[in-house]
Amino acid sequence: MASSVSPGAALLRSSRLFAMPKAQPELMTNTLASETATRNVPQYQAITSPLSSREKGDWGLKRPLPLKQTMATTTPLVKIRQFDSIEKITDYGSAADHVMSLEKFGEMRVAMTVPVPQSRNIGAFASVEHDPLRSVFEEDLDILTNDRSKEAVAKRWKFNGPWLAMLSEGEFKKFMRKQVQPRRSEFRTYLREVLAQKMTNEARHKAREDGSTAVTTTTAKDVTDAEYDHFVRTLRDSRAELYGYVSDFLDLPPVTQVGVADAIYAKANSEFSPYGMNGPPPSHPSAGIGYLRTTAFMENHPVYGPQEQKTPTLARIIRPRHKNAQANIGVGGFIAEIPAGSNEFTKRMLGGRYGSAHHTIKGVQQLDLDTYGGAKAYVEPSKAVVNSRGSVVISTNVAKEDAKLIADEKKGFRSIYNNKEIRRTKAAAAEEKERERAAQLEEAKRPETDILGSSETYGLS
Amino acid sequence: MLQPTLKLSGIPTGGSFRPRHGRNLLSSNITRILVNVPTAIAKMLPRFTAPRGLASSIRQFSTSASSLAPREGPAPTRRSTTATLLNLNNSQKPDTRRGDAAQRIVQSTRARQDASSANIYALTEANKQRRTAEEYMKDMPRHWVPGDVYSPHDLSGAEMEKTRKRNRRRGDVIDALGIRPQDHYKNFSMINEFVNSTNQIMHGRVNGLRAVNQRRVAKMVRRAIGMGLYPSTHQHPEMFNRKWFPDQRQAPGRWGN
Repeated sequence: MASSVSPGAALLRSSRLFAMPKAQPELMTNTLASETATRNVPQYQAITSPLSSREKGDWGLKRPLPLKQTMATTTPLVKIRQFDSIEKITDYGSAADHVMSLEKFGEMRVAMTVPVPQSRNIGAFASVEHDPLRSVFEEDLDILTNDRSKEAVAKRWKFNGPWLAMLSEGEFKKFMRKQVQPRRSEFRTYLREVLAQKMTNEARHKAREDGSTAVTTTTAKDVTDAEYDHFVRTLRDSRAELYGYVSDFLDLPPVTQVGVADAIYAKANSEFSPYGMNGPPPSHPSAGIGYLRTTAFMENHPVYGPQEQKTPTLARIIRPRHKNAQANIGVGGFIAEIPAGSNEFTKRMLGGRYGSAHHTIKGVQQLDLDTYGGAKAYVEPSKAVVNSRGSVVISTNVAKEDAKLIADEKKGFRSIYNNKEIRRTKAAAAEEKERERAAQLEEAKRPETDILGSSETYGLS
Repeated sequence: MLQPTLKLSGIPTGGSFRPRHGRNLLSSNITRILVNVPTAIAKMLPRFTAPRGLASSIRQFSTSASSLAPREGPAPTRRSTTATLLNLNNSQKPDTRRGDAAQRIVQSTRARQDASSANIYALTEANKQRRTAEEYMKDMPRHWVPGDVYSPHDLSGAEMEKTRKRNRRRGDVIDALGIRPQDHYKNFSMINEFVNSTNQIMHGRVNGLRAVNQRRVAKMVRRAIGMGLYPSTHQHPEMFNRKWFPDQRQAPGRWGN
């Protein structure tokens, strides 16, 4: 292949510059933030350069990058927006935001899991299959083929059709115009095939009931127009069934619930999909950010032994709670969910029968103006999920007190380890001996009680 | 038994209990009312007679029987066993002399005043801090959602200032909504979105519309003005109202919502 192009072109093709992937299209995740705000998902490849080259401004690009900027940073990472703009400059920016976030995410050691909608997490719906800590890398969940079988559709994350709930009105109309309308006749043929299959199944069922072996197989060609029209009319009354055929035809993601009656139908006829409630993610459900399969491991402390909780992470309280909105916490550069339930990150309930008078961390109720660098608190990141917008949402648990202590000790803020020999004074030893003797005497003095029950033990006399 | 014991639910009784004002539980009418002891029971219980040596310590301003309650005198010549035992409870009390009652009232009033002023001070301080925090919060307008990624730069004032400014429209609104602007020539709130305060049609660059939709929107505005449905040199009067009397927006039905 290389022989067919000129040597210069071959050199360019094998160069690292051309190996740079194209920028990812911007996802509509950050509509409110500014142009320069950090995006939830990186768009550009981050590149770095060794110090010896960086000193010369050499980043392997067409022209050197300014030393004043690229040498005055502790994170020499750049993203290239344009190699060569019309103004003859290389448009670049710092890529430290996403690279450092990725590094911190790795340090937290959270596993990427499939989402589990809250409503499915309770009562009869809860099952091992819907375990909230199931990894996205499980063999049966990580389906990359275009399999339309019921079981596969329930677990697939990639579909040809869009997630209809996320489309705006204009986008939906465009989708209908461009992709659905041209396929109308194709869909009619598909429905005829479905009907033929249905009729064959019915005939087979009837034959079995009658005890005969002669089964008339119906093909799409055998279906009369009257039969077809009747079938279409019945479908109009059964939305869930119709959606089943439409979604199969257009390869749309499954929907968990359509209505109450449909939900009953759907429960009987379709498998539960983890993406049925909020839509499938735009990328692989791990987003390539982490490859850890489970969080079911214990950390071992060199002195204190295996730990019940993982090392907690110091979370920044980004924004205090406001009206009904909960406080926002940032964990390793990601805005994470606060621990579930009533805890130190939620509004303090003033005693009462249903409230718990827990202690609230400073900075949760109102902005903490005293702490240098802002209020922070320990949390235990438990799992991460990629939502339908492509953002990585980290869930957290409340960090336990001893885990916090050990984490503080690791950082050198506290000292709890004490390996000094326990020394006892002579007086203390004598006192202890005396106490022991007194206890023995007390034991001897105690009258023997009847262990059988009596009216007295029942409190009757 | 020297000390009578009285069983009251929730109140420690016997020798260890003393009401706040140093009065004996059984002999104080006020206390009896407060703790709701039936008078009959109280009458049945034995009463104390004041020891002879304590006659001098009877308080001047007290008219209740509690003044007879034994308390440590300045220099009792002889102490009965009862008094000694009872005085165990009063051991922390300072010596009381004639005229002390007035002094004590003054002291307690002053203490109460101090406590309340300290309370008020603490409350004022807390309010002040809350107000300052709220002021700072105005400079942090970004609404965060779980899943957002931030770097130190995103928390800076410069970035927050950019967030506060109304963003330029990204993408074509008409396309996103999938509507025909010509159908909405009577919708003055929609027209208002595409014209400035002097009713000039905004540039397509400002609107973020593609050329086709910009022409459609311009046609909608011109049509509304030409038909006399919309003023040509100023905003629609209903829009004035919305601007100057924002509270009225809450009124149901007024703006068609």
